[in-house]
Amino acid sequence: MPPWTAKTPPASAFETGESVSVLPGFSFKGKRREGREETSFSSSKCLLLPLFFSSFCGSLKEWVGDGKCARTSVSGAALVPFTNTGKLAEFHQARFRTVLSSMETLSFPSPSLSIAQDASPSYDELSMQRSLVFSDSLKDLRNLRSQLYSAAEYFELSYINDVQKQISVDSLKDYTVKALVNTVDHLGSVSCKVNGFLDEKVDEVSGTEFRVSSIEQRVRTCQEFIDHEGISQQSLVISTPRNTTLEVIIISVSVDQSLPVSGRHAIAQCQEIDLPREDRELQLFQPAVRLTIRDRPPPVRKFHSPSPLRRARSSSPSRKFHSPSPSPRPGNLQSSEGRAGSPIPASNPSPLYRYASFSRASTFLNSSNNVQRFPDEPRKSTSVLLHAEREDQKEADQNPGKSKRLLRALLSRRKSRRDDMLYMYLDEY
Amino acid sequence: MARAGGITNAVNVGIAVQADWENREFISHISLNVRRLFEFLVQFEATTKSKLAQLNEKLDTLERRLEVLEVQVSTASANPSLFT
Repeated sequence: MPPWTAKTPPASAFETGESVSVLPGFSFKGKRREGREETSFSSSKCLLLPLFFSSFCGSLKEWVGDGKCARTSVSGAALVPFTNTGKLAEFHQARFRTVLSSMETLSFPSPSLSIAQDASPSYDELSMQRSLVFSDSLKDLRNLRSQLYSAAEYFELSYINDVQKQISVDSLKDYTVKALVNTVDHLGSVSCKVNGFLDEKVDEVSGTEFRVSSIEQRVRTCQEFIDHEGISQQSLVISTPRNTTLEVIIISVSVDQSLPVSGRHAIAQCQEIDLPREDRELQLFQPAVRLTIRDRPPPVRKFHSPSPLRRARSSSPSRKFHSPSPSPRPGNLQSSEGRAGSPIPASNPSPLYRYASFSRASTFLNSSNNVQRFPDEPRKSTSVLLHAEREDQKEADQNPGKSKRLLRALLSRRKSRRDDMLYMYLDEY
Repeated sequence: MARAGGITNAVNVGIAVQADWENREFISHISLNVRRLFEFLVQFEATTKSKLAQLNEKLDTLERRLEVLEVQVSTASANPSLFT
């Protein structure tokens, strides 16, 4: 490792006076005079100038390159932005201050140095000053190229025409070193600024991404809530037709029994009756009620004697229509309600409940046979049932006369003729 | 005298050679540091480009997500029955 690559050059090596300045506003004529008159480079000092330059470049590279840019290298392996760029910038500024403190003997105004030395009271003023200095340094960096070209032409001409070539060579060396140092200073400042600006923007974009993610999460939550509400509404819509049919059947049965003539006019008024919640809970007991009704014999037959004639009539088509349907009468139902196996409480005072339960049972029995029932059907079945009962009562009233005729026929029958008449009479029945 | 003049010439030549070596060393140092500066600038350019590309990608993603959100919000505002 050569000795001139030491990181901290001796400050005494740069005591060259205020002879050369390659900063903006540099006039070659005046500096030429200064260089010719005042600059007295010894060979040792000329050798030490590159030492400072190399060490300064190394420090600047560590400041900008190793500190921030090396981590965000080209490979892209570590593109994580710094979370605390302020502290890092302060650290680099302090480091740059220590590096430039050794340059104060060169006495050229550095933008970073001026930033560090100016202590503005408020943050806005400080930021304004920094932005102004940064813009000035950018302008200087743009003008540096033309200055370097003009300086190169000047030194070339002076070396050719001038007698004291050593002096011009020395001034050229000094000018080259300072110009390069100034260039490195400008580039470091600009790169640091650009890097910080990019990190700031990356942080802002990350914050914006977080906000957008939160908004998306909110929207997703709203959509899930809307879907849930829609599913619940659809489920309610599915269950409502079942309740409406039940209410219609209940009220139709009760109206048929109470008002057989004008029942249809009263149905529309009674449909608006709100059943209590217990009635809805009775739906849970409907299968049990259905079983009890199936096991129970038809209550209509209790009114009639189990005669063979009636049994023969029960197989007629009109009788077949009534036999599978339970269609119980309210009085019989109330007597059978008090059984222990009945799920419906016997202390239920409202007759509407019982009508409802049995009408539901009838509807479910019919629905189990896959027969669609309409609200008018139960009324028809109950009306047909009442008509059949009336006919049975009339037949019972006519039975004594027919029995007398039968006895007469039996008494007055003869052998062959009597048998034929008897069979004819029996065939009539 | 001639011997003294020869010694003087030798010394002068030695001084000139030393000065030449010093100049060469100075130039090599300058060129080396200019190369380092160039390398730094290239590295900084690549890093800045990658950062800018990453930033651009993030902004594109954000723009698409915002467009999707905008469409969703406009759809929801066009159907107020969803909120009733």
